[in-house]
Amino acid sequence: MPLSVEDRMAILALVTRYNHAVDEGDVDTRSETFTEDGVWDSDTAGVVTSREAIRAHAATRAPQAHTKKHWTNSPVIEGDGDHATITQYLWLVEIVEPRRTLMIGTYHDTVRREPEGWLFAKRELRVHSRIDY
Amino acid sequence: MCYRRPAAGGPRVSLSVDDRLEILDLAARYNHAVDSGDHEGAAALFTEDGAIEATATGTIAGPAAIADYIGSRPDGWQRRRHFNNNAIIEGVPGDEDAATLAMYIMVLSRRETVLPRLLGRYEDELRRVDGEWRFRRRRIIADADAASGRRAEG
Amino acid sequence: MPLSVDDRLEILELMARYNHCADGGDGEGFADTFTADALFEGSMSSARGRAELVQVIASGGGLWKHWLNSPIIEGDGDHATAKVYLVRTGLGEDGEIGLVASGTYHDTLARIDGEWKFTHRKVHPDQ
Repeated sequence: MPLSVEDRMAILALVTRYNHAVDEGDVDTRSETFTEDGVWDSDTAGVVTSREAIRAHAATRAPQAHTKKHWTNSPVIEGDGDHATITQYLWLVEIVEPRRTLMIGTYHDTVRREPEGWLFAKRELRVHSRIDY
Repeated sequence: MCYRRPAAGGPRVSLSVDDRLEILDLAARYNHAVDSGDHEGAAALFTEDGAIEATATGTIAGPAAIADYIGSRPDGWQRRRHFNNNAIIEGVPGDEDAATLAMYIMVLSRRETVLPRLLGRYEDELRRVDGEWRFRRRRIIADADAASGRRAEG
Repeated sequence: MPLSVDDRLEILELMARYNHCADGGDGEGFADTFTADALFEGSMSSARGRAELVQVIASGGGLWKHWLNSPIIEGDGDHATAKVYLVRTGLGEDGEIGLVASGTYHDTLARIDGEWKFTHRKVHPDQ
């Protein structure tokens, strides 16, 4: 069964919820965007497996929050039934005056429909460049 | 220029949610194709009579010419990243297979320090061919282009 | 009744139209995105009601552009709230094109005569 319009909007809303949660240092909401067996694999944090481990990892990063903004863009969503993938760009703006950094990367996400809605089963973040400006 | 809603009673065609999401998907696929160096893939998102129109280069018409154009950019599109924003999608009165898309474009360089490289606006005409939305005409209006050292007036 | 997918897309397009009008120097079009008695609290100016809102937009921006991201839209029936990221691009102090400001919009919206409009829009700047 192809993804419905409602599915696509719900998947985009999941990405948005993650962006706000990570930027606000909201450890619970961030980890709850993952499935219980979710995997967070990034060039900045390595591979973190399970929601609990992601929560613990997020807690170590939370004090740095409020200086960063995650901007995702150009999502291409493909899937059917209860599984989908998203390929999208990340533009991470970090402001710690007077230093400003822009990081460009790509997310390769796998999402799964769970009883509580669409959640990340795996997020991979590949970083392409960091630029101070 | 401002993309205002036509006055009440004027021609205004609402596209379905499905159509609007498919058109956003088309715009995203163009960015991914161009930025990964897939020139043929980007050109395939245009109709057979599709064209790109840019102030600096004039009109480039047809998929083969479009693929050549995208592949021939001086320092390679592969090191760039296209970001869109503020999409306004509208139907065309009397033609259910046509639509327009107005949105912002920012091209970020992945390595250089001048950010962003290009800032401007797309004004696109779209056509549905065999059930798939395609670019019929993609007009690029650059407000600033760091590559050419030019800063156009708004 | 919860917001439909259609409502969400219409609110996103209202936000887009606000930016096109603000950056294109169209005060009337900008004011059209608000209800008649709406309150706008920007980082540099405030305005209440149509006559003041039209005056917020002085001239066409060119390089000055508003970019939005990560909208969270909630609501039901004819009322909604939204939280959305904003950056503005323009010429920086060094004369280079870049990101000159960022922040978050906090919005309240209402559907009037079938169209979504802002009733209150407030900018919370990052800097």
